[in-house]
Amino acid sequence: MGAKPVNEAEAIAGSRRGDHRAFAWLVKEYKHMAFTVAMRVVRHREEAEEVTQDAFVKAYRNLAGYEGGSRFSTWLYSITYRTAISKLRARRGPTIDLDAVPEPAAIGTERPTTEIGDRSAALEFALSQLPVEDATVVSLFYLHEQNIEEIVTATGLTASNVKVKLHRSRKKLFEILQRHLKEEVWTLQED
Amino acid sequence: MDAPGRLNEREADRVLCDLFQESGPLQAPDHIDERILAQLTATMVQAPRKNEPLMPLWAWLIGIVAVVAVIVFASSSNGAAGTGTEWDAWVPSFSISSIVGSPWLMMSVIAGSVLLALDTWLGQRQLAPRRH
Repeated sequence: MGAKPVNEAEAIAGSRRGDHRAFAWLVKEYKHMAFTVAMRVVRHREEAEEVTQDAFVKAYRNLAGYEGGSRFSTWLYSITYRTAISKLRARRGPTIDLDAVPEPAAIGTERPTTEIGDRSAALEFALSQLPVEDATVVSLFYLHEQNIEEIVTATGLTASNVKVKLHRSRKKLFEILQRHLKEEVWTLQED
Repeated sequence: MDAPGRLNEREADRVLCDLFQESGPLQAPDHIDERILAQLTATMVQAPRKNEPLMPLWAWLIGIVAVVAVIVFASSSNGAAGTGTEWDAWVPSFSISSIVGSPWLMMSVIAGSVLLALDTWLGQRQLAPRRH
């Protein structure tokens, strides 16, 4: 077993040599965001955990296929996203419409009867009201600051599709947040 | 806070970005690291290694050039009787027609070439970057 890696390049190189400790560095670095991507798709905590685990194992097995053309995170999230979609299709059938608004999520995001004081809870509720693809795209864009090209790589959507979803999601999120946040949220200006 | 104003798309973008950054990503379960590493160990996943074809491209090129050179030399030697050069002592003389006439030899060469070519092609496909 090698020395503890100090950066991503060392961790990837070590993982390729079979050093689990090096791979543990990558897991620690990206587990939260990978879990977030999984949750945006499957909307179920236990399943998201399984998806995250499977994604990391797949990433380890296919490290030889990571050529370094994109960021490691982008490559990992693309594996996570596809694994999550497979899980969702296994649960809800192969013809599931990823662009449809999902059923209420099983993570405590029931429609609030009163205004939400907590901004994080409000955001989670608002995200749960978006279709699976839209929620994933907007999370990758704002949380991980991925650009359009990286989101295209991660999700397999086209660039124009990603832009449309971002635009649509912004408006929808604002509408929901304005209704449910105690503090005021400014509305989008109508052009 | 003031009464709701109206934001243009850039300002809305900034507000959403701040909200997302403030909330951060969802927290993965604490034990997920151990479970992932345990799964790796349990399935005895070998160190990932790059798949290389049995015969690299440069070896193919050298092999083809060498075969063509031998055939050309043998053909020219067959027609040039009694040259008596020093090279004749080193190069074994053989008849092209006897080689071509042997079905077993030619079938073996063809089968081997096809299998090696297939292995190279599959190896190149596997190494190529994935596209969605």
